[in-house]
Amino acid sequence: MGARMDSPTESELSFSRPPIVEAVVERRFATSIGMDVVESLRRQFEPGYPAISQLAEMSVTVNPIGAQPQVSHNMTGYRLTDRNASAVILISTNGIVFSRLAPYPGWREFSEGAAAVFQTARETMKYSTLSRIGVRYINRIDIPVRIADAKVVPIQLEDYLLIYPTFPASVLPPAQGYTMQCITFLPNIECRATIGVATVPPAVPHHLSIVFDIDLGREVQVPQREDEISEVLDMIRSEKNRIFVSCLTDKAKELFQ
Amino acid sequence: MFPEAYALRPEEQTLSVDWMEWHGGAKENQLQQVVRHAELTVRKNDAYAVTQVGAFAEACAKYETKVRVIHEPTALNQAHSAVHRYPRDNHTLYAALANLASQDVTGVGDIQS
Amino acid sequence: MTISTVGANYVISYGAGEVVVGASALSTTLGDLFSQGRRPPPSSETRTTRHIFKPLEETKEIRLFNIIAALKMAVAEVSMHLDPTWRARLFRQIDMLHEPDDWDDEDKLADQESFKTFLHMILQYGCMHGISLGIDNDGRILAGWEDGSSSLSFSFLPKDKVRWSVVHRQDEDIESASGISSLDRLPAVLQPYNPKAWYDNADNIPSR
Repeated sequence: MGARMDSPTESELSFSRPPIVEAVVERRFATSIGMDVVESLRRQFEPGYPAISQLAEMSVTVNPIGAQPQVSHNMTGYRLTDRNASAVILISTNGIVFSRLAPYPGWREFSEGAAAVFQTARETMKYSTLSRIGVRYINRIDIPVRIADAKVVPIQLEDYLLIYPTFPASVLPPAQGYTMQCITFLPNIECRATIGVATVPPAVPHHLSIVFDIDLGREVQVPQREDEISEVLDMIRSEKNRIFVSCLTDKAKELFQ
Repeated sequence: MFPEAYALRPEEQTLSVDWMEWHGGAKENQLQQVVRHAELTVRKNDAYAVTQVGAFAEACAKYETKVRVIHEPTALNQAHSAVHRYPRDNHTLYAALANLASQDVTGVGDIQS
Repeated sequence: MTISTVGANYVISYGAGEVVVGASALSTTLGDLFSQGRRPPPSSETRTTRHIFKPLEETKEIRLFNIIAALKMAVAEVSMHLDPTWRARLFRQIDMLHEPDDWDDEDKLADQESFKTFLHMILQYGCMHGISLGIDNDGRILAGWEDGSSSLSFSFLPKDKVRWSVVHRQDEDIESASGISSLDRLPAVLQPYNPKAWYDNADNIPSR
């Protein structure tokens, strides 16, 4: 990653077409809540988030010799989407997630939307100790594919992102896709950072799409008061911005203008 | 008006239409009677397109389709008629018919008001 | 191998494939996949079932809300490439097309693969203004323009294929043509019919 330690300026973050596909704030509970509480939360949010689907987890027991696999499925929560598909709430026995989909409205509107949802949740379910708060930004970089002399011009990933796989060209031909995940601890904000980059099916015809996923979470010294949570989220956001700007080249940033 | 409005459904052998003059009176009244006697569910955002039979047949003939429009009243709809020998999967014809019909389209909401 | 839920069904993704099954077929399907030599997941203990999974009752209204959300989310994913005003108008059209009074329980809802092809056309050729949208009986997205006597319409098929129809009418003479083409071929197949009149309304994505 880049060696930059200071926060990027507002102008450095000002893009007319930011590549953010989804911005997420998560609050994870230290102890699972009951489905009755999940149902109460669903009823609370349903009027503003009428598109609902269920979340379930499955257990599979595989017996290699003989009998059919045993499957059980447990209901764990709901995914609710607002009328304009601009925001999503995931309510589960393990936590609550608020997502804002593209186009990204800016940190202020996003964080205020999240705060409102968590406020409503807190009023509905009362207090539950948090084991993790996290912020995740899923970016997608759409790189135009160029044709020269009737051939596709290979795209050099390092021209756009400073996180990319390297391997000896003499051993392997050029890659057609990749997935990488880097996990590290950021002591300045006491958060674990999970940085993921991966090629994905192109979202735009005649483009190559790369997801650049930045997930920062505080799992130690997790704040429990709203003012402290807000402060930590602001710090996480600043760090996320630093990572984002540092890992992209100028050529990539031009794509967002 | 989309060409798909003129496509036959899988279960259909003929194209169902209404002989609106069967109801008599002014055009407005004829359309109201067509809606009133419709055997399909008519919704407020639906619309009816009016085409002269001769123009319809002529348009079909241009695409080498010699249709026959036959008055086939049903128990619920005395004005019901059917277009026989109507082709399946001729989207070029459907587009021409939709274009022709788009000159005289009235929404159900306007008909019923 | 991953297993996720979509409504009342399960999507099993494995290796190169994916299969959607209902709850009653899940055990059998997993058994088939394992016996075909797919890499099985590690053995796991059976957990005590805590809450019986009851699929959410999908009323017509919920189905409509969900498909509206799915279409708008597909738009959101590429919204950074779309004009905001055009996108807002598209959202209004999506809402209008899904008024509950216009749908019966057994009607086929919008096909998301068809909608994806529609979006790809917009991304490739620009946000075209003045288009009318529709959904046919098979759930395919329809788009059309009328320009006085002439009309152009598309029915969007999966995998970036389009059925196009063009009509030019002068006095009583109607000239009509139709075909199925890839998105890439659209300008070439429509060229004899002067599509410029419609494409001129498009705000093109700037070339790079």
